Amino acid sequence: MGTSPWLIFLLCSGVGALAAVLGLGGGVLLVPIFTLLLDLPIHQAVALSLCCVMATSVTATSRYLPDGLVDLRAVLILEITTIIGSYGAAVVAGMIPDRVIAILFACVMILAAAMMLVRQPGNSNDKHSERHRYPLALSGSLLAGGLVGLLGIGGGVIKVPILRLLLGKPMRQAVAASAMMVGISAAFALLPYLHRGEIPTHFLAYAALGTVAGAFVSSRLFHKIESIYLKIVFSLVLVYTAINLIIKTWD
Amino acid sequence: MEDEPMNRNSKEAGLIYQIIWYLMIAMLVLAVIVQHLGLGERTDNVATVISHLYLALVPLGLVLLTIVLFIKKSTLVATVAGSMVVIWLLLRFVIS
Repeated sequence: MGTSPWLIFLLCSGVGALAAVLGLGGGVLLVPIFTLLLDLPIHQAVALSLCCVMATSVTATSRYLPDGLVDLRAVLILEITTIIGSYGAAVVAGMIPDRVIAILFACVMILAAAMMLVRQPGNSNDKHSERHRYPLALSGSLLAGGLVGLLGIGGGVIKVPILRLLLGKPMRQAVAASAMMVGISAAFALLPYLHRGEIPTHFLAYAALGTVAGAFVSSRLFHKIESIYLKIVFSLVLVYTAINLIIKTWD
Repeated sequence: MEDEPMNRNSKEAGLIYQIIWYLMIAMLVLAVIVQHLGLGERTDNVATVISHLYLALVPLGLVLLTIVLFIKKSTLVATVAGSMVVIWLLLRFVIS
């Protein structure tokens, strides 16, 4: 394979920086980059993305936990179904053809693009209510875990609303809890990929380190951007990449 | 066993995750250095060993978290965290 590991490091740094600035998880960008630019099979791309997502989760959690932003009890209880979803989906992913996963991933990319445009920028109306709809939250977490295991993305799109709407967490606490949860889910989801030999070990360190470095530098240099124009451009890039992903996998 | 307020164990848990973060960065930097130097066949072995260790980082964090939570008498959360570690170990080494 002729791909330079340093190219992977640079690409992942860019993704990590962009994701931190836009307030996204990196998975939705990493998988298409690994597939389209580096020609990795989509199963390997998903596994490598999971490794990167785990690194960003540990980084974010090591900052959120000391600040008291993570509700450990909620995280660990919701993780009961999330890890079932992530491990189960990762096992099932081994039986699903590349094409199907690529199409599913493209759909999630288009959904992420749409959500980025409709997402409300502020969170000033957050109020900490003590609602505890755990049965519903556990079901939603199962689905979020499924996304982690099958597509290698963080699943924050599902987890943050669950934590906010069903468990009444304020936005910052929901984001912090979601960040910790994805690392645990990824640790379980990676096991079937490891057993199938689908983790590209040569690129792991470069990709994970690149993502962390990019996010680390970017979060210190820039503030989170709320520009609607940037979000529109980025959404269009996501849709364009989703279409390319389908075309490439179909060929 | 009782419900614990949210931030009761934050400091200890935060410290554990910071240790895990430093371990992770050290491991990844070491892997990059070794792979960059190029040690022939041994490069493959190092990459494989690092990937196995890397996957065990979060479960290691959960082990430490379980111990701390038990010491701090947060039994419910500690039991859940401990069970996850046991399940991860079973999936990793027994079911493959």
